[in-house]
Amino acid sequence: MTQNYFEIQNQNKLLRKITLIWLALALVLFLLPVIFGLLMRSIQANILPDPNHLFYNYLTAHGLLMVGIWVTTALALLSFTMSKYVVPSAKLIIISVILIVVGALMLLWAIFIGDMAIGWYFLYPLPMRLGTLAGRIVFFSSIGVLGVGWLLWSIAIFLAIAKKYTFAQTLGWHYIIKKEDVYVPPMIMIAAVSLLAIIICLLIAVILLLLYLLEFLTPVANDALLMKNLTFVFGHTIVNMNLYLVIALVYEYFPQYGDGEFKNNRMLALAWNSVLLVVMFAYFHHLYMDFAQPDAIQYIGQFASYGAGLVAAVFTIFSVLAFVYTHKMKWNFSSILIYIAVSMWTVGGIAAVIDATIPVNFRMHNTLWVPAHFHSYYFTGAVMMMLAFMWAISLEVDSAEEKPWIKKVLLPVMFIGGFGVVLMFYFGGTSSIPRRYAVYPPELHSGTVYAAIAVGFILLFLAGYLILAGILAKRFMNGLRK
Amino acid sequence: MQLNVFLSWSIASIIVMLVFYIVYRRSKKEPASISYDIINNKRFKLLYGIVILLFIAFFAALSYLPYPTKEEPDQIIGVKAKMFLFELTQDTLEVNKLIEFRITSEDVTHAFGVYDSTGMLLGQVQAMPNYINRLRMRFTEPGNYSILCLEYCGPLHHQMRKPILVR
Ligand code: HEM
Ligand SMILES: [Cu+2]
Ligand SMILES: [Cu+2]
Repeated sequence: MTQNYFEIQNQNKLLRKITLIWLALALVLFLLPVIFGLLMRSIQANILPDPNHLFYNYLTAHGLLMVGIWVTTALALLSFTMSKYVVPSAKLIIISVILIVVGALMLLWAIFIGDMAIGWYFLYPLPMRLGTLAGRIVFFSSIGVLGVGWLLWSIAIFLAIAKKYTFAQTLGWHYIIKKEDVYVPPMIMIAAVSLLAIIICLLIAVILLLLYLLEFLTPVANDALLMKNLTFVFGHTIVNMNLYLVIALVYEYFPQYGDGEFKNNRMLALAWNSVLLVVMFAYFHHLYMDFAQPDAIQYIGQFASYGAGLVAAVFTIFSVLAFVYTHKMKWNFSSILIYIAVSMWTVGGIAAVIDATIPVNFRMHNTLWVPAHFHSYYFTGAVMMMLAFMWAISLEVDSAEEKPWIKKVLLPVMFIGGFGVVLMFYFGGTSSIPRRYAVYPPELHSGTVYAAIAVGFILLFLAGYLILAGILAKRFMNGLRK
Repeated sequence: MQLNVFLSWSIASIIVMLVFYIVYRRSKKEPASISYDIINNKRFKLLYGIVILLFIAFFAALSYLPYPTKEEPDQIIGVKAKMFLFELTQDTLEVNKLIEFRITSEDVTHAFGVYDSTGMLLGQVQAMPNYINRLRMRFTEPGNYSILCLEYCGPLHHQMRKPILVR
């Protein structure tokens, strides 16, 4: 490794502290939604009874906590890693972390005490019909609190970037007009693109929340199709940007294992700027089965979804492969895990592009094919990558060496566990098993079988993860004391 | 269709994994010294390849759209979805006729998923309050079919279903 993050961080003790605290917390918090996942699969497999009918509460909490934890972790890893170029304000970040933790606790309260079992994207008008009044109020407030937390954090990062680069440089526009006077690291450019989209998403979320508020306070009812569009611009885009934030970090971390660098240039700048354009329209593929949506919009959705996949394949995935082909790599836990996770991101991307094809979507939408593809690039993709970055950071902050069994035993155990979880979703989707079914009807018995097999894989993943998280948390704690 | 989707995805994924594996193996030898220009050349080849593939897929998809066309349906069935049941104006359908379901919801968003007797999903459409979605289907086999709700709509979502008979 060429950089020593520990030394860089020594100059920013507060930022290092808050990063390590959040990372340790995230490792523990993550167990909660994983256990909800285990419970869901066990209930679907008829292994576990669900006497209090909590399946949909687990579902909602699982989805929202996962997204919450990993968006935040991506922000934490980014602000920590970028501090070798520009340093974001630790104070703003501390406020964000506090807001996010409070928001998450409120969310859990709303879901389990307020009975807001409304699914992670709380499709209108479900939140007006389910749960208690207090549950509704706390639920929407928690989304607000989380949103403010993420907004503050994004602003902290932008303010730091603005100290060194202009807005146009940050987005690589000077490369596009062939005026290459300032070098902008790809991580900064990609992160800026993603954060810009996140900020747009959060502003759309404000409109969404205001429309809900309006309906709470006055007798006017909202338009279901409009609300659905707003929900998915927000939901789809924020999740995708979470992945892109992680990809930004791949551009920074991965080449270090081959003693090289991913260089920024005109082509890359063009690619990521077109991603920013295209990705805001890709969400239309969530509404293919709303035949009331104008047909032209459906075609735009298919076009934009294909476009996003194309850019990912030709730039990021190809670059990773070309880099490995031409460099002598140091393969350790982090680099192997990033590499495998990029391949899973590709595999999930292929499944996503297939499902973004309207006639396919007609038969695969809202089946387990959907969780299959997004768990591929979220769980076995982005989350594995973030664990890999955490591993790299932990080695630095605790000045530790990696033992060979980590990559020889722990990595395969975790990865095979994760892959099995995902594969069972693919099998389910192929057999037309609906997503979000607490109990499968008798004619869809195969869904029950896949769920049971998935339980085994979840336990395998958990076994590996617990060991990894134990080692990581201990190192982060040691790092805190230094 | 589902099986073909799965097969295409599996084949593409296995190729991807093989490529990753081969490149990984290569990295253990002396690194290849290939100039940046050659790599970029390859990148553009990949770009054009995928663009052509996606263009074909894009236009192929447009000729199999599930959206209603100008053709006159033979039979029109009204469908009202509400927590947690479907009300159909008629639950016996004619085989080989073009059937149009006009679907709406009385409360939250549901979805109207048509399953054949073997448990395969033939098609679906969302059921939304204040909107009427028109789903066209032609059943080529007589038999028992089921409508299942395919959009999460509350605690009994997984029990929301309705049998239909095609003859
Ligand atoms: C061991 C790891 C995991 C397991 C066992 C697991 C399991 C599950 C299960 C069983 C479902 C419900 C599927 C259904 O609709 O029937 C689900 C949904 C979901 N999962 Fe996971 N998951 C895992 C990891 C993740 C990760 C890492 C993320 C994101 C970072 C994630 C995000 C989601 C989301 C957003 C949903 C949709 C929730 C909804 O439909 O409202 N999961 N997961
Ligand atoms: Cu329903
Ligand atoms: Cu439903």
